[in-house]
Amino acid sequence: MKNYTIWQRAILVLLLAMASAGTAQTVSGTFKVVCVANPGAQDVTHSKACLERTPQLHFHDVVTLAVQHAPDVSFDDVGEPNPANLMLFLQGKPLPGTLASVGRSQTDEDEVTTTLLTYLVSHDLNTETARRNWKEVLAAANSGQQLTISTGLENGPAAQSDAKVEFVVLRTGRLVVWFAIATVGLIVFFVIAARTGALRDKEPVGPDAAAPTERAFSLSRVQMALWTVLVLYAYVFIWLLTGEYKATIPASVVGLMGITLATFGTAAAVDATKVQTNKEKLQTLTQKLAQNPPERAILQEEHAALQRRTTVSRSEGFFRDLVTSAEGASLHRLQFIVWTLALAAVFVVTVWRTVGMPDFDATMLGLMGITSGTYVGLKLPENKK
Amino acid sequence: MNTVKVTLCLFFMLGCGHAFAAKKKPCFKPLSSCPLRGCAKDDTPDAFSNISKHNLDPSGEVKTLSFGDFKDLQAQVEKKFDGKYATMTKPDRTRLRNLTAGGEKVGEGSLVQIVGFIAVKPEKSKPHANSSGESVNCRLPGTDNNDFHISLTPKAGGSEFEGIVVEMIPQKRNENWTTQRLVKAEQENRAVRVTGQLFFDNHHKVNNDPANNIGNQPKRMSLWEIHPITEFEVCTKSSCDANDSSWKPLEDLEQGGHS
Repeated sequence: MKNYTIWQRAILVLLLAMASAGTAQTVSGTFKVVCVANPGAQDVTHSKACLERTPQLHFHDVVTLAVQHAPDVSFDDVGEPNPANLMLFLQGKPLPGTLASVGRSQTDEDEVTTTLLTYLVSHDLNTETARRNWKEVLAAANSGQQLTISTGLENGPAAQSDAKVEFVVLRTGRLVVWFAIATVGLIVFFVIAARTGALRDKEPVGPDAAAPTERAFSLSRVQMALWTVLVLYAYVFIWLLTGEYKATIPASVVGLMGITLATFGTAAAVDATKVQTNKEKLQTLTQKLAQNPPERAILQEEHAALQRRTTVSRSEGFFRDLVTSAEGASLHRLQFIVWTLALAAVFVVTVWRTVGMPDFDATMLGLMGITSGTYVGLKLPENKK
Repeated sequence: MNTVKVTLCLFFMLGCGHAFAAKKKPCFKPLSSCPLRGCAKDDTPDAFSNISKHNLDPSGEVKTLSFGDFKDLQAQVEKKFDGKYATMTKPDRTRLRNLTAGGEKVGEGSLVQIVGFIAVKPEKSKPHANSSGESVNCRLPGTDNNDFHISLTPKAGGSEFEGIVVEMIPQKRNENWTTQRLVKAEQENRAVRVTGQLFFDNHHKVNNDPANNIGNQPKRMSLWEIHPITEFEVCTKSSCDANDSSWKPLEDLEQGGHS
């Protein structure tokens, strides 16, 4: 070998590493998946361990594959391939987080070895690849087709496979449990919404709406409650169907929750500032009125109007409260509502179809942020309803 | 050439989509740097097939097979794989090693030989180089970079449909193994004795019925080949059997006048 300097060697190593990183590893010809097998079978050669019928597979099930390989390939932890690197593939898509455990292994008269590889079908959505792959797998499963099941390396194609499974995404029993929980939850939510002031404007109490249930609904509170309920329901739905309770809430959904919280907080702060300003104005006006000026009638009218703006007004119905301010219907409120509903619809449909929460991209989150900002910004000149 | 086709297609507004289909470029140059797996990716079924095609050191003592044995080997594969062998993994190819012919164990990788004649039918049938460029030879064009494809038949003047294919690979090929010499042996109706590795060409289909010729498939009654050829001998008498002493290496045959 030529005498390279240490820098030249470092660059060479780096280039080689980059080249190898760009190459997809494959074992597509090294292994052949024969069938879905019975993990307890004593003789695994000649497809004797194969299940007779196409098995049904659910999230969090354990599935065993009978995999054939040449005698020079072994599944010890030392050589290549390491079983810990072999992932479960469904419909040609690798499912990150699903790693093999090695079972019985036997060699037949052709010197072909059959080894049982067992996988836990975990619904790990931690990476973008995992999300994309699961989305495609579930779309195929929901269309009613049987899925090819195989093994392989994460960055390479699946090993050739004759094995099929019927993947059942929505399990009736668990769906019933979820619907029951969801129904009870909704009832509780509506009771709280109707009988308390949780979703309504708070302070200061005015003469028109003294009781909490008489006060107008608050748009930012309702939006925050909507997202809280949706995310909570989605979380329980995913947990019940997949058994996964970790990391099923993508960062963008957390971001979305953050936006709703920030909107609510800022809106409350704007309201508080306006109330304070109006209170000061009211105090000044009261002092003027005490001096009995000639324009008393006008000042009294102004005083009454200011008092109304300073206090919470009476509810005129849920939808009317959300869409209108003291000055009537406002476009920025409507825009805020429409965009929230659109995102909520996307969220619900995605959760139902993919059994995972959608990962909204930065543009969508930005748009939500802009509508929230517009709502809060235009709330400044808006009078309290 | 492709540019000309595309220009003509655009000019005449013809629906010639093939002109736009880019021909795959060589993956390695020159042939000496072409890996055993050719253009296939490591550890893929194609890689194992290509690696097998390069085996110039087949195992065991040479076994003489008949055309009947080749037919029987084809039947064994059909049965073993239930006709599904278009894609063969490494374990599949391992299964190809455990077959029998004439009561003896043979299979892919075995050293075998056969005696036959170079096919003369259908018309224009003659030994040729697969010069368009194949994956196994890194898609390099030209005679020197490609396999010589030869059809052998059991009888003189026979048709490719009733024969098998044997191939000379370009790696370490004797420089005197030329298509001219092969054509000469064909034209002189000489018996030939071919020795080399037994190989199963799973990428193709059996094409043995002249009435139903499968257009893009080599004409033959078995997908088993001798590939690569390690020895190619020509009979110096009117007829020779496998154990005859009258075989002359192809390289020693006087070169023909035309190819």
